[in-house]
Amino acid sequence: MPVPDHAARFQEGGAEGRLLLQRCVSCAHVPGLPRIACPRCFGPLGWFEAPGTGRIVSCAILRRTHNEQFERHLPIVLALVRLDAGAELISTLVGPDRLEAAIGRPVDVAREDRWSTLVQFRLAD
Amino acid sequence: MGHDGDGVGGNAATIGARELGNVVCGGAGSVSEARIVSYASSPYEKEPEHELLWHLWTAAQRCLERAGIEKRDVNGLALTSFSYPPGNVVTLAEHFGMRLTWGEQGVFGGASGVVTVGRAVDAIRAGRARCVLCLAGDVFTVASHDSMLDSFTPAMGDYLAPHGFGGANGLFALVEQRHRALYGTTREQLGRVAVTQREHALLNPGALFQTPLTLEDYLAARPIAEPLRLFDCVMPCSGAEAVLVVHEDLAAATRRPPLELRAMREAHNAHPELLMSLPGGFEQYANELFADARLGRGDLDFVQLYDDYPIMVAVQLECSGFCEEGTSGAYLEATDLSIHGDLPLNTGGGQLSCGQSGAGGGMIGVVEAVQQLQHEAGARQVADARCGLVSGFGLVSYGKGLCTAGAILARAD
Ligand SMILES: [Zn+2]
Repeated sequence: MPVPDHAARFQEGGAEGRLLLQRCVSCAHVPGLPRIACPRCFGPLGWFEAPGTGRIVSCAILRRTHNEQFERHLPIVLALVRLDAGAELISTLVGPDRLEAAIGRPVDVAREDRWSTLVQFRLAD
Repeated sequence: MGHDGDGVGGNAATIGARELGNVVCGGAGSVSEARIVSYASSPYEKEPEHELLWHLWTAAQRCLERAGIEKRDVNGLALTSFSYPPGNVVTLAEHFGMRLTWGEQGVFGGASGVVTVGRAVDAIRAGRARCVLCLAGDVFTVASHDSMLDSFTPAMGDYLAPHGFGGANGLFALVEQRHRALYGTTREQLGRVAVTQREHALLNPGALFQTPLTLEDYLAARPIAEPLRLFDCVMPCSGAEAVLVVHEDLAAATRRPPLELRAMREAHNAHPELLMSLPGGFEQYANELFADARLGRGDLDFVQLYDDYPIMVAVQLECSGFCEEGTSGAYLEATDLSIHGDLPLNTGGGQLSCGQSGAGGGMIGVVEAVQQLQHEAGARQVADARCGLVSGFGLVSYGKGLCTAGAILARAD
């Protein structure tokens, strides 16, 4: 039997376009990056599927990538997203309007145009 | 160090007090004191012409030669290198034929240069080593460096690499964009870092960039990860840096100008709850660092600040207390950062104009500081430099650099 892997759980959700996050069983803290234990109280964490909505805290437009696998997705819009679920994540925006990304704009999890194995976002209205 | 005196004030007064302190507490049973006596670099290469061990050997050899110290006298070794694993400090000692009583592996990314020199001083004070060589270097090209970043930390491999995230450029573009939005920092203001450091590089034959850079060049350069453009990004290259720290008795025999580490502080994961933090960690210890050194910010003759990106120099100026939070843009505009100016910054050109030799980028500031304090910086010498600040920053992970360190070095004579 494979050993349970907290990173793989997040990645599996991403592959299905679902935003799986962890919440602390003891203190309800939601760390953005998956972890083995709560970084606040050191207690155990449980998984939940979070609503994919949030806002852009910062963003950048990548004009080059060192990984040729991603070249066809240039320009890549990298964004730090503050999720309504209470955590922050760094991800990429997809969709034809992604270059209009700006700090403060709302985003939602992308269902279309996805190319990463992890959860990606799109500009919301 | 336990000497008294009134500290903050003119350098001459402070150093006078230091000498008095030595007389008072220099008798039997006192703590051994460490001195930084030598420095060296290997020739930097844009395209690799030599292997890593050649660079490390060349820097080490030149550093020992400058001090007149034989390899067999070295009994402490510190190493920082991203491209040497699975080799480490002990396998390097074996390779070089060094018998060690003390070893240290730099695991703090670009903060390792400052940290390992601090650890070396501690080891000598504790009697664990008498002669410590601190090395840092790598063999990188732009492509090999970026590939390394895809698995630089567990989080980057798991959660950033699948986004084609653009390496460190992508992450620091997020930092700069946030700083601009919060504080109105402009590209023109940040450009002063790159332009001034290039002027310094033109006086440093060791720097890889030897053509002048204007603010217009900086602003109009090719976009890499907007808002970052070409001259915001360090160029990964090959090279190594070396610093020699020895017991004060041995220091006297080298006849080199002796330097002391007045203070060293470090902070790792300074903001556990922030994914991306504009305070970079330097603010955690800045006041203690200056208090330990018994110097004020105005006493410094130069600062060698870790410069992977101009925005990180700006952040450090704020966090280290040279200006208030959010005001680094205006500070950069109002301050002459040149070698003859108010606050000489990265006097050898820094990583931005010398190239970033991987882990060597975390040591280049220490090496430049030592060279300046020993008054051997040639055309770029800061007149009568007596003390300066060196910072390190690194182990970039998901959203931020995890490690910071700061040191204040000063003449001990
Ligand atoms: Zn908790």
